[in-house]
Amino acid sequence: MDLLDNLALGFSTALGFQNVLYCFVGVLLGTLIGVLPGLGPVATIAMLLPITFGLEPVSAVIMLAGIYYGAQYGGSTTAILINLPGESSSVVTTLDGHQMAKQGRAGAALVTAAVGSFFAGSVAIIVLALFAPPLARFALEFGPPEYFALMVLGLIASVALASGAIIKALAMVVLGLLLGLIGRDLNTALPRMTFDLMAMIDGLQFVAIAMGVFGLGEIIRNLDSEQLSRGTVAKVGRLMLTREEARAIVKPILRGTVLGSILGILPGGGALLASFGAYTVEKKVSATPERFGKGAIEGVAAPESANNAGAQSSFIPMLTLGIPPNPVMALLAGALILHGIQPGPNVISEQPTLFWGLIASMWIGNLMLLILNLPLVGMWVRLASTPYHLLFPVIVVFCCIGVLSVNNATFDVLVMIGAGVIGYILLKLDCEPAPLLLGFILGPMLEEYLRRTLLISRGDPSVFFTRPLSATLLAFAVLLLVLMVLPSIRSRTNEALKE
Amino acid sequence: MKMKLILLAAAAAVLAAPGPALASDYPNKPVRVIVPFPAGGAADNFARIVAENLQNELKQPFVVENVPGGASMTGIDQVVKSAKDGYTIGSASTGGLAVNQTLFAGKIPYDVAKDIQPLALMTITPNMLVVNPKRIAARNLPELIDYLKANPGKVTFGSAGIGTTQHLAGELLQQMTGTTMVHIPYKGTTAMLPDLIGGQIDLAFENVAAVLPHVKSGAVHPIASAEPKRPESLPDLPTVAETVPGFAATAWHGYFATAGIPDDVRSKLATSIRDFMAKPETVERFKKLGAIPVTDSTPESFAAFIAADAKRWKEVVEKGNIKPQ
Repeated sequence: MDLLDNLALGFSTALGFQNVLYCFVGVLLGTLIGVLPGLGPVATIAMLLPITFGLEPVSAVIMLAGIYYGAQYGGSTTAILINLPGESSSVVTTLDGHQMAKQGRAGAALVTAAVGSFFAGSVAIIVLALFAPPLARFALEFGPPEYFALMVLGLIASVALASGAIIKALAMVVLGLLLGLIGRDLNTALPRMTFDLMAMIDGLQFVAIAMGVFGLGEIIRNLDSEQLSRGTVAKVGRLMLTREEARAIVKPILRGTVLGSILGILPGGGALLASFGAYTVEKKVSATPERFGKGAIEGVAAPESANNAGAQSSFIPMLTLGIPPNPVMALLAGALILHGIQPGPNVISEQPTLFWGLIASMWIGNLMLLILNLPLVGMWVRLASTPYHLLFPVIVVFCCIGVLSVNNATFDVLVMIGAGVIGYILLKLDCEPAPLLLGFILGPMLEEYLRRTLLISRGDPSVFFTRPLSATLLAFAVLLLVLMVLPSIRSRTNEALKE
Repeated sequence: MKMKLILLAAAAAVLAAPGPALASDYPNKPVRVIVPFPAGGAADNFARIVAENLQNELKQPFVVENVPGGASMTGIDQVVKSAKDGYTIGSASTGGLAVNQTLFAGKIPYDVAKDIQPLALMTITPNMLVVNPKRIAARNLPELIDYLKANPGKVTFGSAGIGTTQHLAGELLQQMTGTTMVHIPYKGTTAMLPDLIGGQIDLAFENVAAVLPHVKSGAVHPIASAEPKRPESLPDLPTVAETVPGFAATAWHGYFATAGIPDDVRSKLATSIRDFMAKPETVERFKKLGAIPVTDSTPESFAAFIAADAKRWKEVVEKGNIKPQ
């Protein structure tokens, strides 16, 4: 009955007038910055942090958390309508979401994303309330070898994201890996492939690359196809789901939720791996994998559920261990510290109002987002069908502002422009940018965990196979690889993956 | 067109003219405050608290800009290359002002001794040596040193990255005790902590505020403080120096400007920062953030402090051969 008491305490806190208001302001802001390409929750929360000094700690955290998960809802809107992933976790949503939009099913895609996110969010919050401490302890079992194995699994799975030829997807992954290795080597501080430029010493920035290859690349291609007067979305189509569509998304949402809740608690690429892991799973279990990449509704439902579940469960390590698993959680931890609360194992017992109030507010916030987003679907869709010559300059300007806002570095804007040109060339060559981005994120992590494992084991690679968790993950990776390269299956896969 | 050019040139000449007239009413326009760290972290908090006070005190906006990356060098370089009028100032820490000149010798775009005008040391953020109690049986420093001597090259120590005070503290301990450990660098404290608590690595020097909750929960065991003297907040924890005389690995944060700003601007800024740091409310505020406020810093004492720290870390980096080749 402890849980009920705690939840009662949480809801009585979160339902106070002030907290409901801040929760609403948070999710509304989050939705808006999520929709605006480039502007992400990290920059927004950083800018708003000083304003929250005057608030009660609970209200401050409720609002900042609202911005974070609100942006997860908003981010899918841009990904679906204009093929622009504002964040790493919405990269996967572009694959089928934007295809659906092109077929006039933007409304269905947006509704699927909102409903999936709401369901996944609600489940992940219950998980958070019930199992936060044991889950956090489980995350600690993950050492460098386990992360390495997880990244290997992720990289192999990323090839499945491609709807074109496997060889091109592999080439894109490798290109992404190489781009990701630019910058100072973690173990020796030696700058690599930086051309002695100070601006490149920390490597290329993810947002700049993502905006470039997806956003600008797509814009250039749209411009040269001489359909300037049309919007990106030709037909608005019906907004609600058909009965078949509604039935088709139930299982993907459930699977995505489970995967997202689990992977979200892992520091590093957890939420990202969750979203494209969910996509890969759907494609593998589907009876018709050839529809993926061409507007399969399951390809929107699963990753959107996974990334929102991951966003909620990433609060677990921050609140229970004081270890922020991503930059947004680091900012939230910073906000708590400024309010005199040191995030750590004692937060739940010493600050019950804060912990349970936040959890209750997350559920309220998710409900607000659902109510907020469903009516907005019609508006977003019409907005995206504005004439392209009006739409694209606005997108370009927001991309520039967004990229600049991350590090205040003009060099990043140049990187984005360069990446845009490359993205256009890749589109012309029928090479898809999604595997490139995943290679870009996973590559440096893969190297980091491999070298760290070997440093700790003094160069003995057998640890990968003697530790049960890492051995299991590697076995999965091998299995997946075998499935992909077995000649008999290969011909089928190739057929299935080719356009 | 020609007229316009002449006017522009004249305006530029007026603006560029140095002199006491410009300085005496300093500041008469907003001041940029470059913070070479991401928004929201401890370093950003310290800088913002002081910037907020400068704004109240000197009646002009002090606008904080976060320019993270490049091991602080990008942000510091922006301050160094700004006009010598005091309208661009910055905050920096041990790495940016005392370690980079050795670690990135030949690549660092500024010369700390020549290009930096120190204003005031704000605060010290103490480090402490902690071990994972499941992996290391030692409960005090003499026991730990014995264990390290008996097991050379077997114990792993984590750090927030190459050249951080956490890393250099570990190097210094090895050099002063003649022991060897394996250094495992991470991307920052928050990436290192899970591996230390989860028992993937054995020990680490780490920021007191960051590890204290884990000390309280028993996940890590405190061994010693890296400060030269026992910090007021940890009166019962011995220092490393009590066992290894002369050991000190201090992390600090201070304000600086580019060299050559007018004297009265320099003293106005320095005095304002020092007076603010000396206020009892400020002292309390910094203590709450786990830092030790410095209440009596001057540009001269801060410059001497930087020089001494830079010299110590130069020896450690060169002796430990940690410089990237």
